[in-house]
Amino acid sequence: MEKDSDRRLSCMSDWSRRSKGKVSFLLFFTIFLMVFLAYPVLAHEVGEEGITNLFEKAETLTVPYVAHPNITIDGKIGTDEYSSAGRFVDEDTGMEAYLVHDGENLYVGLRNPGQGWVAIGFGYNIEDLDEGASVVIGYIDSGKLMIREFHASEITGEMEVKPVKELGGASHIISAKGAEGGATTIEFVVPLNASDRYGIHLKPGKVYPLIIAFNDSLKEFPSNLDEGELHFEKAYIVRQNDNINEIENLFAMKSNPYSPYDTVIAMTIVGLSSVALLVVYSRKG
Amino acid sequence: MSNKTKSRIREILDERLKLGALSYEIPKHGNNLGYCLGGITLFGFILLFITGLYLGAFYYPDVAKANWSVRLITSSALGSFIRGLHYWAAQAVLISIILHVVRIYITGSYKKPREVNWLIGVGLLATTIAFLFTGTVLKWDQEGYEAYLHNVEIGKMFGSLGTLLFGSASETLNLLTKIFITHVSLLPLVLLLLLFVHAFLIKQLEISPLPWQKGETETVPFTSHLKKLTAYGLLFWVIIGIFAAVFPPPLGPAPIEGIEATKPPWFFLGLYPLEDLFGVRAIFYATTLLFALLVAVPFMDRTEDREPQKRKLMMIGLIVALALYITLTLIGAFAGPSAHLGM
Repeated sequence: MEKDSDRRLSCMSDWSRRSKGKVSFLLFFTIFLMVFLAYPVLAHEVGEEGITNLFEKAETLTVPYVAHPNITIDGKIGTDEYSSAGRFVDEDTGMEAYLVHDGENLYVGLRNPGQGWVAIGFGYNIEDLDEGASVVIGYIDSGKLMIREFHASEITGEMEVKPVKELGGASHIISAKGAEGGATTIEFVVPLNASDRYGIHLKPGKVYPLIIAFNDSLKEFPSNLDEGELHFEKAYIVRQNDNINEIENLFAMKSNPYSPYDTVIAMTIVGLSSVALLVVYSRKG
Repeated sequence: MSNKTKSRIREILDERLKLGALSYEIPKHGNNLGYCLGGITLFGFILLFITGLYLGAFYYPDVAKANWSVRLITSSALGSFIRGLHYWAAQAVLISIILHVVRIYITGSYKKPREVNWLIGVGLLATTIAFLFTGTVLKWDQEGYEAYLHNVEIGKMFGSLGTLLFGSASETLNLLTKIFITHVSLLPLVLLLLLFVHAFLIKQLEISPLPWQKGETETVPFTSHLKKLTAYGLLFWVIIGIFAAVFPPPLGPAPIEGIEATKPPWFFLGLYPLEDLFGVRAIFYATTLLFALLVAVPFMDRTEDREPQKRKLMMIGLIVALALYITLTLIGAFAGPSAHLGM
């Protein structure tokens, strides 16, 4: 008996010695594999910020549908004028943007806390920023509004823009007014669906990249929007006859029409079966 | 087929596959429904695997096309039925696992020498929940999208490690692709490994005795257990099939970013009221607490008694836990939706 147990112990100790090497190898191999597999992700993470990341963490601005917006294009953003509009406010800088549409046109109010240019742009496709964006830039020079449409061939952290007229495009701005006081305010109207590829193209029910920028002193059109303070947001264009509550209800209901019945059934099964199991296995054998 | 032919076929197969080895003896009570719940769950997993292969052939793991591809699958009657099987089987599996855990708890089957197998079982439960979560996200409707956002929010608690594990750490890998890989590759691998060890330990340690059982017990061949399991398993499939045919699986429209409109599916609803009270972090803390308690069970109840009557404190704990789970889930089901992500 003793010999058997000694032999077994000796075998175990041999095995343990042999295994130590194997375990160490496996450990190092696993660590190597983990570092190797994680490297491309980590390397990318610390590298240049990617294009899609510009919008990944962005807030979504809802651009509501209003049949007859009570907006006067006079260069002044009235107290109640944009009460139902989608609103972007950068509390750090004081930059503001107001957006509303009536199914045909987009009404925009912009407020630059400084005296320079202000810009708003809509990308064509949130999933493919290489499709570019349509941008409207304006500033007040000697009391006169200078406003133009620009085109960005792609959405980047620099946002290089070119006047659409240089590219052979037309101007789509229906009306625009601006005013300068302590701050610069600009209002304009453009069609939701422009007549050429360089204008704004927004379909209700979809989400688009939204670019908002301003410079607090430069009174000329920039070639890159990063010459000013640049913000990347997302804009959801609300459909006609929808309101946010209806949209939310619609999305909630369609996602799970069986709720709460499935919950009640599942909980009944779990509850009653558990009681049954408790009763069955608590009886005397 | 004559008995002689049957016997000859059995002989040929046994000679080559050694199926006779499956005729080892197991306790007779192993054929009771309560002791077959684990096997029934396995049948559920098999159905999920088969239907998952079909769905995976058509699914497009990209934010832009995921919802559309699921719609494409369900546009045919066969696709809709197979997705229905997958959808209802996932929920049925969770219920059978919960009941399996409850049965093991009541009969004290986690006690020495089966503590490790209990822990493996807790791992299987965690893996199943991970399957349910990733599956919810993959359909990429409002519910799936919001589930993903909760995942990201919890990931933020762990800094850059959380981004790597729970978020979209890199634009080179589409977030849905990452979740798809987890759902169809990583989790099945973990599940298979755990199932293998679980089954191996059941074979090694044998089916646990009835709580009141002392001494020898009546035995039956394992093959009779397999037959019983197959019968229960097929019945399980039929029930799931009826659900799939009568109640097609729901799918909402592609999500709108920036709104928080849905509530989670029933298996996560218990966390919803906690989220209402304590914020998104409550999901992590409540889940961690639940699993910590499950892990602690064999170490808290170390007496040799298996009869529920002699383990009153443990039974009270079970009743309280179940009552809490059911109550929170029902509160979650009937409470109005509320925003937790600050959108």
